Amino acid sequence: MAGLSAMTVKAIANALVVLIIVSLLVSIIFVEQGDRELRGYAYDLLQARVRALKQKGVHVTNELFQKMNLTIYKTLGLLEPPSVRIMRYSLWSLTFNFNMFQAKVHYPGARGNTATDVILAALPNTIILFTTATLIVIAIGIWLGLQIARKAGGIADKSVSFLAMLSASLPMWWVGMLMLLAFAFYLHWAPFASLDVYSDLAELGRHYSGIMYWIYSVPVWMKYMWLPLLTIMIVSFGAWAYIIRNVVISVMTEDFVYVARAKGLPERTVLYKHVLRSASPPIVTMSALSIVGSLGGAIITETVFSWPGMGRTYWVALQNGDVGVLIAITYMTAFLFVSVIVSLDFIYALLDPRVRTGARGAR
Amino acid sequence: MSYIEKTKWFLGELKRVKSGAAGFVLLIILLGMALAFPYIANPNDIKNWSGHGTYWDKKMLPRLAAPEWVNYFSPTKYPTTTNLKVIYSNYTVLNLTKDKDLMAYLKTLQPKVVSALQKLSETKREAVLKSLRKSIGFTYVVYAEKDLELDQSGDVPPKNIVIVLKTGSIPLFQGLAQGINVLLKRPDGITISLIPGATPNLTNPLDINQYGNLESSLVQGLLPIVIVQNKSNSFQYIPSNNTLMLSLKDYLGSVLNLNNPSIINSMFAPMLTTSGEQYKVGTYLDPTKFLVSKAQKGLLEGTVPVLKGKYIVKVAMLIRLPQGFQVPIIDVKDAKVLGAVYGLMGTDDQGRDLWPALVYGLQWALIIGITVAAISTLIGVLYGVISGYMGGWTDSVLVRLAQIVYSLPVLPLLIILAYFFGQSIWNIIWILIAFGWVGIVFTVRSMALQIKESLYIDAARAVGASSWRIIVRHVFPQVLPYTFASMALSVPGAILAEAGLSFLGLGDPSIVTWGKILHNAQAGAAVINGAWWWVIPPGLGIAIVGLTFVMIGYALDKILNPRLIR
Repeated sequence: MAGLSAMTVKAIANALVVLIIVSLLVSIIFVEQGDRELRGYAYDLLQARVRALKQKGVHVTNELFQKMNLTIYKTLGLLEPPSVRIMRYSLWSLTFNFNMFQAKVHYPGARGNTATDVILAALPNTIILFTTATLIVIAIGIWLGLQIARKAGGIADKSVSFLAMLSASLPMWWVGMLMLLAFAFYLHWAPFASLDVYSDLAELGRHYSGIMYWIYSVPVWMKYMWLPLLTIMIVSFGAWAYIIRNVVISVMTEDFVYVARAKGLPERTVLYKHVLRSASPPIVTMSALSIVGSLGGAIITETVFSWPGMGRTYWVALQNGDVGVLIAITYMTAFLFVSVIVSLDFIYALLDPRVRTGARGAR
Repeated sequence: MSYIEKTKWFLGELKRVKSGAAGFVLLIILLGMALAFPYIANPNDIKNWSGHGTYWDKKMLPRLAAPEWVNYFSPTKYPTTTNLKVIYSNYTVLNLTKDKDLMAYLKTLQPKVVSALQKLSETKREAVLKSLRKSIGFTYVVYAEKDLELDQSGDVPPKNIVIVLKTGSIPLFQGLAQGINVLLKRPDGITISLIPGATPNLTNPLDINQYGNLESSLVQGLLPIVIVQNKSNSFQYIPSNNTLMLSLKDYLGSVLNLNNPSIINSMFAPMLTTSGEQYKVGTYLDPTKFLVSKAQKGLLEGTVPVLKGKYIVKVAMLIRLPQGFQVPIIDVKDAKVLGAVYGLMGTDDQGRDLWPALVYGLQWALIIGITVAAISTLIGVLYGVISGYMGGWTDSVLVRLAQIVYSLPVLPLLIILAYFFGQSIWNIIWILIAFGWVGIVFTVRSMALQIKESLYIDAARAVGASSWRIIVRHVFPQVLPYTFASMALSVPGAILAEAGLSFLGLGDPSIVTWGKILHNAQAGAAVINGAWWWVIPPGLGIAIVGLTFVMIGYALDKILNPRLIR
């Protein structure tokens, strides 16, 4: 297993480099940007204090002025060189010390005021929505992909291929707007903004507690969730079915499938036991990447539906220049993504010795 | 094969791949539309798109109006946006120093005096006229009147009626009233005057009592008129070359805001007596709808259907001037009914025509998509070829670097970078390229590894060609055709990425892209207002351009790529 361990070390080293680069890049950008804002703020603060002193009749000497300026710079943390702050932010990120990042504004559902609280409030919402959607889409995709692979070239096959082509060029957030137009504006079946889920839950909390609260909160979540869920499914199931169809078709031409058929096994058994099992490694890879990708939330789609998940939080943080939350979310997304890639590489190598030698290769 | 033969072969292959042929036809149509932009839309609309100037105000388009073609499909007919037709126009100046004009003036006001005067001898008449002139106190009487026809054939009321009056300098002396009257003659025979204090019918246009007084502060505030103080502070006047924009919706809105039921009840008395209703404080009234609704029970609640037919808006002014003042021009410069539908693609919430923006957005979608796809694919191919051909530590370093870029979470970084450097569209294009080149590297590298082993490369090396020369002249051209497919397939991604950034408000503020239109639609609550014409076309445009390139990409993949890549 020498090749395997060498490969694992390489992959982990690679992942660490990626994480260090991400944390540094994000810290550099935000410290540079933050400095510009802070200096302006420091200037305003100084002017205000000087004015207040002058009104009291105090003569502001040059010495006093410098001293005041220094105090302000010190309290704002501007005295340290930017490089020190960049290193500190990176270190906090790399050690998951998100408690050190203070959030500037309040985020719905967040219990405290640190980036950790913000992420802890937003991540479950994203998991509820996007991970559910991804799992459903994968299930539909596998079933549909298998069905159309059996009748390749048929009408169903052609329409799924077209759907896959179309969904590659459809903005999911735009489809979300259309769904809102149709189901919220014209039919009144869904609410416009999912953010209201919190006020509904708070209302529920006044009447119920414990297990009953959890039971009754399911329909509340569903009320706000079904439209974004449907949107994600509509946009992504075509591509999934198409990819699985291609994987399955390439497996179906292999000898063992002919053997299985020749043995007289029923088509169902051939498909689900033999073909699917052999096609599973790439499907598992894609599923894992897709689920971890969904954890970051779709920033724009969540914004359209005002869904209080990671994506919308990221957007709100960006709007408010909330550096700490931005750094934390970006780093978390990168970490999840990279760690899944590493563990997939590892699992793959364990399962399939052929992979050991090659690079991870194309997408 | 010569290039002509190659093209012929390619076209022949294309015939077999129908979706590819469709993709190329679509591409030609799209390119044609993008190039024809200056001919099928007004480039000035785009230059002044985000301007806070008066460009779009001057155009006077209805806000949030659906496209005109809606009327072909909808059972309810929406009023269109048109100019009001001038069906009668009159501009008369009477100079009272002339006997004839004075007699004409008197004749309309006091016919008995005129007949008595005519019986007098000439010398006596002169004396009486002289004293009359003195008692009248002004020399010129300017009377202007214009009838504008409004054809209300739609089932819903128009959004607004706007009349732009252009006047010369009009002095406002204490005690000498100057008159204005705006009448609405409805198809059901009811006529109302929209100016407080004016009579609902203009039986004698020279009678100042039938007009609203321009000196009254109520009328001045409602219209609203610009008033200037004379240098010697002796009187006020409306400055010359004054444009008075009378937007009926805003005007009636301010009338309602007065919260004075007696003014409203007397202004709309002819309609309200027919419907048998009284306006009370707090009643919500849609002013434009009210004007064109049938006068029957429920008029004030707004539950009455629209009264269809030809309406006439009469604008009349009566100005009296002492000796020595210049006679002002009075003219209706522009009169428009702002319908519920406008143009080919409707308007947004600021009254901007969406059609030019959509065509212009196509230009940028193509520029962004093609530039990003072409440059990033070229970089990726060159990178992969160098990595594969060179081998050794160069290869290791390059592969490692590519893997790092490949593992970066693209969207959050893209958003952060666009947030700080996205003020120009070219910065955004460069950022997209910076993340886009890496996708193709690994495939190309494995191809280069294969090509490296072929005989003609050995031959080139034996002749003494440098590595660089071999890469550029032999390996790169060999690989390039197979990457055309991924080039085409990466176009939609670039367009989607830019649209997403613009949608978040991180785009170039100086240009108009489809993403930006959708950003404005989101900010302007288009979905909540049901403005589908503002939401659907830009996204459909993105989808069509994307689909075009995806179809081309799949076709190229089938035609050009032998199975060696897979």
